[in-house]
Amino acid sequence: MRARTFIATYLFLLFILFLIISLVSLNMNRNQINILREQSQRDYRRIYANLTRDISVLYGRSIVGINLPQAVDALAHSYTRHYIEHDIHILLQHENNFPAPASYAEISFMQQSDEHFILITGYLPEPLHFYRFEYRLNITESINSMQSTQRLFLIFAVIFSAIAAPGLYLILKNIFKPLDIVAAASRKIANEHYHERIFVKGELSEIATDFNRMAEKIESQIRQLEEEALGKQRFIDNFAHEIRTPLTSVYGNAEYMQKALLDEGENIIVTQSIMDEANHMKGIANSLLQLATLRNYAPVKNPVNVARLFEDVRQTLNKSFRERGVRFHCASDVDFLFGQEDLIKSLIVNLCTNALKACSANDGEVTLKAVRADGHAILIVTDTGEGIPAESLHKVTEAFFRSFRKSGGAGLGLTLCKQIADVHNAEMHIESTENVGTSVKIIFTRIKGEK
Amino acid sequence: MAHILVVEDDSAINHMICRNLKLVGHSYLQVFDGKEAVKIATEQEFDLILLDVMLPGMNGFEVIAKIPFAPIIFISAKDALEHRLNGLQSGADDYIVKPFEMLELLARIDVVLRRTNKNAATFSLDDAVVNMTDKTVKVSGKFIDISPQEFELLEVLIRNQNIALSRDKLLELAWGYDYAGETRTVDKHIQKLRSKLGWENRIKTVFKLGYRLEVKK
Repeated sequence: MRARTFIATYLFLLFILFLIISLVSLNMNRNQINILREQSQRDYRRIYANLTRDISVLYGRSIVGINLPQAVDALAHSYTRHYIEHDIHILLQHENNFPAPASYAEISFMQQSDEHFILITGYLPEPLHFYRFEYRLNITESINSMQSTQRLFLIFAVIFSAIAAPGLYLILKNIFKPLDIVAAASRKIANEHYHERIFVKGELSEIATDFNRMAEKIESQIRQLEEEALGKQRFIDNFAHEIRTPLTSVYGNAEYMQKALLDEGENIIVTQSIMDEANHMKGIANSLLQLATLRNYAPVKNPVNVARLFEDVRQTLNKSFRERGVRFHCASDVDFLFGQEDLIKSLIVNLCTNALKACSANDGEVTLKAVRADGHAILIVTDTGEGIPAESLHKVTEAFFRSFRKSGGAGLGLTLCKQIADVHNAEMHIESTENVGTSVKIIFTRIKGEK
Repeated sequence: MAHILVVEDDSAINHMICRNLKLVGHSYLQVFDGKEAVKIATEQEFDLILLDVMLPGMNGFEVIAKIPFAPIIFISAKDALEHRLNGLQSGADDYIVKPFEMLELLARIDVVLRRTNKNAATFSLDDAVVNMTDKTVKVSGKFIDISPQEFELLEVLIRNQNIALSRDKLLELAWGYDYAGETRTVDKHIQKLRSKLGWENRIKTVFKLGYRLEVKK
């Protein structure tokens, strides 16, 4: 690619160079020739006039005893001798076979061996028109000097061409440098080094900026894809784990019942375990189904009486809280919430159950509040439990993630809560400090007409 | 027979494994998370550790890196090849994927124990004493004649004591996968073992299933 550009540019450059040189030298030559021609014509006319006058005089006198043709010859000879010093050759010929009377002159160039001449021929005016007059100017020197000028031009052109090659190469290299950088960076990005960026100064810095912007976009997209793929892989791994664990237990216990000799007590323990695991799997199936149903669900929103809803939740959870010895407080500053009541109840119950599980037995407190701030209705569930490690905080809403596994559940509770919040266009925020507690906020969007 | 540490956070599975270990005569200790496992394994010596990979707090790979050398079998729900390789490369002796059959786990435990020579060398029940290393049997202090195939079957029964084994399973375990014999062969050998060792009431016929060597008092 670069070689081709180089050769093309170089050839173009040479073409222009030679074109200019030939045009210039052609023009110079033409001027030179014109000058010579005009000079020779001037000379011709002068000599022609002088010679005609002198011959006319000779004829006019008509001196007896003089051989007229001889006298003319002598005259012509004296002219020839005189002008030969000026590189001009003069010739006068008596011709019997002359053309019709004419005074025109014919100009032509001729070459004899190495010598160049301008030749002008014509006939003397009447009545001397049987004399042919020939004027020959030697222009060899001028021609030679023209040729040497041309040679000089040529030498200059060759030298220039020789210098131009490396010069052009350097210039092109400089021009191509940013492109090389871009190409190298592109190759790296193609080889999955998405963090590659380029830095180019000068006119092409804009390309660099655009390129970097593109690279950034690619990098972030790829990272997002990778994260999504990882999330999916985690989901599948976790799902497999969640299903296989109870299955292993169910199968193993059934196998045990079939093949071992069981006493009455053991019989009950083992069958109970099978039933528990079956229930657990039922729970997973229900939650997954609920998640799938909720994915594109548009809730039927109605005003929900918050005080009544809280009372409802308290009744549902009272027993669990009492059994574990954890205190449960409800307080509402909000009269109504807009949403689908059963979903919101499920959301609150899930959050409170999580909060309960996080608290250590006989020493904990869970608070459920509804407040209004800045026009938003906010549900807050706070506990004084073990908290969530900062590094797993962003994963808690992921399916099957469990921070406390022994407490049962499939790890779908918060995923479900998030989903319910999402379909209500509500935001879910979780704040947690280890060994201090966790606070989950559900911030509902402002409803038009509400303050 | 062997002392085994069971590290599995799912209590249902942990209990189930332990029930089966107890059945075939192993002693065990139950642990439900990684940190506890590391603590116990450094304090006590075990013939074998059954280690779940996905544990809360500290996963199985982290546990294996922190405990003193012991034979280990990984138990995992992940059966992708890379996970298996990971497990085996981290120094485990075997890798078993959930869900598994109990007999399979017991067989694998047996293989590891045999390799590490942690298997009990003798087994005695009633008047019979079986020497696993010499492959000999004494009844009331006297050596009895026993064919290699009979001993093989005897060994399978002892390793899976208190567990009912089908005739097909017995064929597979005592004769080998490619043995094309009939299940009646099993019956004949069982009869011989019963009479030779005086275990008529020990090797029980289980209706519709097969045979079980009952060791429980």
